[in-house]
Amino acid sequence: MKKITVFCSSLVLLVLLFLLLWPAGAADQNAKFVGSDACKNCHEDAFKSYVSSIHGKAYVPGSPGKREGCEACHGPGSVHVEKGGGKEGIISSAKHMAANCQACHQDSKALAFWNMGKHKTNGIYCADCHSSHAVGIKKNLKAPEPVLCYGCHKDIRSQTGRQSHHPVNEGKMKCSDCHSSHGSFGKAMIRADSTNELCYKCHAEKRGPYMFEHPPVSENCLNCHQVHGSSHNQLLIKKPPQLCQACHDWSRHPGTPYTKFETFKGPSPSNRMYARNCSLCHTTVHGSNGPAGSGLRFVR
Amino acid sequence: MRPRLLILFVVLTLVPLSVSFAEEKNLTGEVSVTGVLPYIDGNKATFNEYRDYKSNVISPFAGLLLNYDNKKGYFFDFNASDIGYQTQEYLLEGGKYGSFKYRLFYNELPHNVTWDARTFYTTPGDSTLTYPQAIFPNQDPNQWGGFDYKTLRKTYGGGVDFTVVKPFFASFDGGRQTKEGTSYKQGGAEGGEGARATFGLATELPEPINYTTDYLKAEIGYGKQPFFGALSYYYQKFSNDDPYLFVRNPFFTVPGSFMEQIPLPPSNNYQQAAFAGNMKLPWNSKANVKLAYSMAESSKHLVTSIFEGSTTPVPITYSDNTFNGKLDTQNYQFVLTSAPFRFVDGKLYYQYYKTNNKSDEISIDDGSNPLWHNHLFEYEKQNYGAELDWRLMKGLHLMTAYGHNYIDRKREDIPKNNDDIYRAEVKFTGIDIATLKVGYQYMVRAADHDIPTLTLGTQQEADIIEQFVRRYDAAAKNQYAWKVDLQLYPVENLNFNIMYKYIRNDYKDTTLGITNDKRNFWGVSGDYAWTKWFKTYGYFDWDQEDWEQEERRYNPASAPPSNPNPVAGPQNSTNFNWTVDQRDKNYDWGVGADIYAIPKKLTVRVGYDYVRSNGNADFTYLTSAALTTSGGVTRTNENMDISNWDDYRKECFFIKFIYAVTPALTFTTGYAYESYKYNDAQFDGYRYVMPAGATGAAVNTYLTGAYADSSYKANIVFFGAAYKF
Repeated sequence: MKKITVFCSSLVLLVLLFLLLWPAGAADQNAKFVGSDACKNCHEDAFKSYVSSIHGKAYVPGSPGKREGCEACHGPGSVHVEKGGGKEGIISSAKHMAANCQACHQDSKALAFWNMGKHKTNGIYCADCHSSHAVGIKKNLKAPEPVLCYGCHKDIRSQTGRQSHHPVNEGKMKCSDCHSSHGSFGKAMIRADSTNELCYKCHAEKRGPYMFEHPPVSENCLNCHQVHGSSHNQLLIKKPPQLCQACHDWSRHPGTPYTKFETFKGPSPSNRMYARNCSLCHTTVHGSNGPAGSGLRFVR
Repeated sequence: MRPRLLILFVVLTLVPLSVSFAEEKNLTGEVSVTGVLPYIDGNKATFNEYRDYKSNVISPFAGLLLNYDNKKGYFFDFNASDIGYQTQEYLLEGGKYGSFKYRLFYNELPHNVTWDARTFYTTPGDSTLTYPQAIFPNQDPNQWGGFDYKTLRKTYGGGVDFTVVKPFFASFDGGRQTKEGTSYKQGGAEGGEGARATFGLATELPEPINYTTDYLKAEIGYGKQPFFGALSYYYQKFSNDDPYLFVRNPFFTVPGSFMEQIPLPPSNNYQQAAFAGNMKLPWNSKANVKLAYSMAESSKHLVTSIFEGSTTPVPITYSDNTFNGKLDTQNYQFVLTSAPFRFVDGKLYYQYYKTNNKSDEISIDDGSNPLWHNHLFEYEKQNYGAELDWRLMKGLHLMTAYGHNYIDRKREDIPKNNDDIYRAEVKFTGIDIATLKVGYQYMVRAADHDIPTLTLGTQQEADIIEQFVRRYDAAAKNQYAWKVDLQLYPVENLNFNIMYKYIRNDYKDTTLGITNDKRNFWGVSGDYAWTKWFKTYGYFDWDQEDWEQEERRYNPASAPPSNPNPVAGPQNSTNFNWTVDQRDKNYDWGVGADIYAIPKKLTVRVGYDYVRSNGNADFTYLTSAALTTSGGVTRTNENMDISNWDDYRKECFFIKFIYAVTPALTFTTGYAYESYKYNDAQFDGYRYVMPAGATGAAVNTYLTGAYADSSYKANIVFFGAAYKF
């Protein structure tokens, strides 16, 4: 009985292995090149857009225009032509086209760390974002940033539309200013070794080093800020004073609740609640060189 | 205005010149001008946060696009937009394909926060703030001077990439960014110091911003399979032309000009040298490595006196009157990726990241405390983990991952964290019309905890209450996260997407602080194109964040002396536990369409976007003795709650008609409406001069109006023309 079980299990495993290792092809191995003029007969608009793009220019070193033309990306088209069209016998999906993109671009600096990137891990391929047939948008993107990125990153779209935001939707910043979509060593594919290093590129006044550091600030800006957008001023994740009190519970005012009573219209207004509350006195929370105890408490 | 008209004139004269180039078909481009006439009612600064529109004035926004290609490999592209305005941008890129590329750029970015802010100081935006009165400033804000909280960034520079000696490459970039204006951030001549000796007085101050940041980048490398390697160097220098802000303290009760000296952000410089590279290995694998070392330095002359309860400043003695800051960082990362078989991809990674704070530890004698010194913060991180992506059958993927993060900080309350992160995701792409992804992540964070040794303050209080405080950035927690993403494309040109994300953090060891938070996000979107007649899109997002927090209020001055222990300590009117639950609900939706009313001739573009945020804060005092009376009103656990907590509603509508007179010449005209209504308890009923409490006799706070009254409505008419050549 035991031998039969072992035999059956091995057989099942072999069958599974066979199925998994069975090569799934996209292009027919027997197909031959037919030339771009053959493609133009049926795909005139696509041909025109290709010819006007950088891939269609024969004088650009290594371009498809200098080699197999349309078939450099879509594979040999003889089977596709013989069948009168259709998706069989031609490469049309991003997944199967990726190898052809890599054949020319794999040595590019921009793609050096593609293998490490989240897009590659999540099955996003070149032609999901780029197209030789996209005219007028830089880097042959199918849509301009950030619209292209919002197609998958809807929660980011929601955040960048909030009242406190980086000027992404205004067109003054792009997703690729901070992120490398082709992969990088940074977390969330940022273009720096750490979040703070990335932020300091534009906000160098926050770098310090300061005599009195605020440790969660020095460690990670995202401890207090929601970088894509927030409904709270200054991209804060939460409204102060409660944001500050989440860490600073102490005697007297740090541990005192500030409620509707302490607002401008309340019966006992307090500058620890109205307007910019904690920041009215504690103005150097990013670090201070202030004198003595005032610096230690970020009041100067 | 005149310089803008001049630039516009120059741009328009390029049209006939460009036409002659175009005849050779080497130079193509477009010149455009759009006249914008906005009628803005309400806060013009908020409307113009990142814009430069003038209300009731027609502003011509010109643009120029030039593309040159000599068909022999040389090319350039020039793009100019918003010429002459504070949002102007210029970019020139060019080169020779396969040989070199260059770029030159200039752009401006305004950030407008509040216009017509007010202050009694006579020169807002200057590094010395004073007022003419003998003792107190003018108490009537209607007589104060006006100024704007706004800054303007200008960034310019260039770079060049060389690929002529393949497979070697080199890149060089350099640039400068300036930021000028006035900000509210550095505020608060904290009162109490001075003859009044009352704690907690505040003045909102305008801070001068005169920043210059220069940078240089250089990179050389080699890229040809199976090797890639690049050495890079980055240098950044930040200069602040206003190292100090001198402020006359407005709270002294005797005549005199009591000037406080407030240090502003120090100038600093930063440099990094790094190597990043990879090598292809057998079994479809790649080894990747990054090694980086960086150094940041700053220097500041310290302020050597401060007013503390008298009109004579108290001297401060330092072991060194100049603070020299220095922070070194090391980053070493190793990543191995592999796809040895058709059915599995894998990744192993390890990172070591360490900051080493070599700044000065300076002994401080401020007369009222024993000698003490500043504490330097630094930390060390190690992250490692593995990911496996299994292709189970046609179109079915299973991704599993484990990661471990370790951090050791020079910080007494939570010096160490160990995070274990488990992740699994299933993705199905087996049918042509849909893609489904379901993912789950579970994280356990362990945290060491200790009681900090106070530099200033009462150690006994710390020893009791700090046992219960956990700071959320490092506190122990369990995190659960779900994500579901369904994409449907049933027919050509029709796409739907539904996405759901849920993240919850339970801070299991926290008694005082954030105890849990969670986020629910829904996103739905769709688009359809009937390419001959129209294309349309729509979206809807819902995002809700909830935070629960527990705190303790205690008064060590009460008799008998209070016990800050939230469990064993007394519960009375000045010593009590309390909670606050905050909720932020955000939702936004939009629709839009391009209608080809006359194909290739007349297009109507229309769109509407709506964004809404509703927040609230629910307070509960856990003892009725704390529900005291203030200003004649008795607290209850209902009347303290806040229902307008960064509430706002923003609507944008536009309609645009695009008429192509010829394929080259296009006219546009249209109308846009934008409305923003903001309502928040912290700014509702804004006042510039505030007493202590509701009826205190003396002034407690002076404000300038930063972020006050930020609502607006705008009606915008626009018309323009574009010519392609």
